Amino acid sequence: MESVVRFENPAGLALQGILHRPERADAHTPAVVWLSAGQKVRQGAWRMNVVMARRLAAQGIPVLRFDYHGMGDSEGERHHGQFVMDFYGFVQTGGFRDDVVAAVEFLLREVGARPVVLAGLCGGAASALFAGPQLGRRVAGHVLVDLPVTISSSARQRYLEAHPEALVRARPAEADTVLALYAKKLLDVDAWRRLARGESTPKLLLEALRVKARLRVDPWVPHLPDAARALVDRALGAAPVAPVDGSPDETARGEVRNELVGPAFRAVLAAGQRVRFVNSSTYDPVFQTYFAAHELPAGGALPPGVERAVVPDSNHIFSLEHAQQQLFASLDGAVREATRVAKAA
Amino acid sequence: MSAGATHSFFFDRDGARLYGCLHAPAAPAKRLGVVLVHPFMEERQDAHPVLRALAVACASRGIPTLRFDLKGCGDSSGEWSDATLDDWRADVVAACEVLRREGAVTDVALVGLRFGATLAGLVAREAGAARLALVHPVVSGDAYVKELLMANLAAEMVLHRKVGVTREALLARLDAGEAVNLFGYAFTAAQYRALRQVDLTRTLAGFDRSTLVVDVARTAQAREPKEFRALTDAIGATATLVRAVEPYTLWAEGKVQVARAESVEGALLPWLEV
Repeated sequence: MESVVRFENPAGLALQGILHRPERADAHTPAVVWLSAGQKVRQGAWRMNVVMARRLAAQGIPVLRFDYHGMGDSEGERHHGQFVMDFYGFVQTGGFRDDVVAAVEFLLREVGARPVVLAGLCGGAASALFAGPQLGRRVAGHVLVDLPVTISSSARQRYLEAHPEALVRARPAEADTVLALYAKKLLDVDAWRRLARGESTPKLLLEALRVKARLRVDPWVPHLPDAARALVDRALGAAPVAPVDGSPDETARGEVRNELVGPAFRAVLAAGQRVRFVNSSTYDPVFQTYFAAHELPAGGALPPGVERAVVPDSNHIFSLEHAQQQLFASLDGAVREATRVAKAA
Repeated sequence: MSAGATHSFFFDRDGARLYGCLHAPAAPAKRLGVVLVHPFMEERQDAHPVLRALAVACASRGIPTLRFDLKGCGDSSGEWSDATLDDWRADVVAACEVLRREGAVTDVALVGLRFGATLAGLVAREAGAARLALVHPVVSGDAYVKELLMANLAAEMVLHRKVGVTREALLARLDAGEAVNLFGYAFTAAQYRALRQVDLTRTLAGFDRSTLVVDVARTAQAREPKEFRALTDAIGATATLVRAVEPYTLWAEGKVQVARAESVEGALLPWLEV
């Protein structure tokens, strides 16, 4: 049975979705939140969401699909006239994370406690990944289809400007500027008063100190034993990552590596959530260059809880029937695995 | 006036479960309501925000407005490949009945965009539409099919990064009664045959209700499509052809997000309020 549902995100905006509630679903059966890519709704690649949800529901799996705020039939500001690439950047930096968290909480209220699998194509995959760490054990796993691992350089710049800590991480040279700024504040009585009143936080200063410390120890890190290296990573954060030169196609389109994806992926694994990457054959080279080469072990076994599949002869919107069938098989496999884990627990 | 409440629901049409969204004004001021008919295939996904904004604008002027998904589209039941042109015509007629019942109106204005306009025109008499607005309609089904096949070829080249099946090969398969994949939709031979028969000029000749044909152009200087003038002339004195200049494409992906069509609204809303 499909019904129209509405729930609120933390900003108080009503999000509208469709809940596919199977006639029978046992308590161990996971529920799936199938996340839409973002901008385009109701037709095209979006309609695959409907097809997938109906196939899952026919197998006894509850599924929630919904429109993010500002999209489809949900409430929220429509960004008329905004560059599409900036909207993509918003999605690729976790802009819909809170909507996903609200959706999972709503779904669990509706269908009862059970493991949740987050799945989605492109922007849907990004939204799942960024929401995952916040949802902890409530999420059993992710099926990330053509996860965007690059971002337009303009969207990246905009994000960094709005998140100074991320800027310092991405551009370690900026740490000196930040430290110089704070050095001046040491003698500024008003700055101390603002800190005492809780009107300012030392977050940026701490990040700058962390980056400086990391740079100082980096030359010795390769000589340390594994355990000590892990300790350094935990205490000082991962080594700063500069945008990498990727494939000529992506570079020509002004795309750079999205530095937020790697840490989000690691946080998802640390939260005990499984990840199944499913890529179209046309997209896989980009994924390989900008993500797998940095985050996955070279040429061999994947980390525990991580799987990877490529759908042959498929495009980014999985418009061909054989590609949709393989995608569904992969999604079904992830759900079965989550069921097995839930039963074992 | 406030845009009022939005109510989404499913309604039945001969066993098909169609998704509808009714924009009900806070204080209904009209006997007239609007049924919006969405465009087809890829054009629909980009046009959704524009249609939604139009529905909100109508409701804010006291006009109850129903958006809905055709069979096999959006959140409605069925697969695209199972739907026929007759199904879609019946969907529009059913939506008009739903609006009369749920929106408490006596008169219905059918407003469609692109092939949605065509569908609206095809059923305007049967649905008892009091008014008809055709926003950049597809006038010739035959030309539309050719256009779709060309666009599909371009999309194939972008998505697969190679030349896909040629237009001639697709036409041969359709003529042989097979379905072909257009942008991921299984476009059936039955749909192909039915669409090719569509001639809006012939269908609407002499239509005696107020009809607005909206030519959407990027600039005021753009050449007026000949088929819009011919359509308006065929309808006769009840029809008016107007131009709406929109800086961005309303039904295809561009560089910016398009969430409303001010010029189209500027043409439609005063016409609805007369």
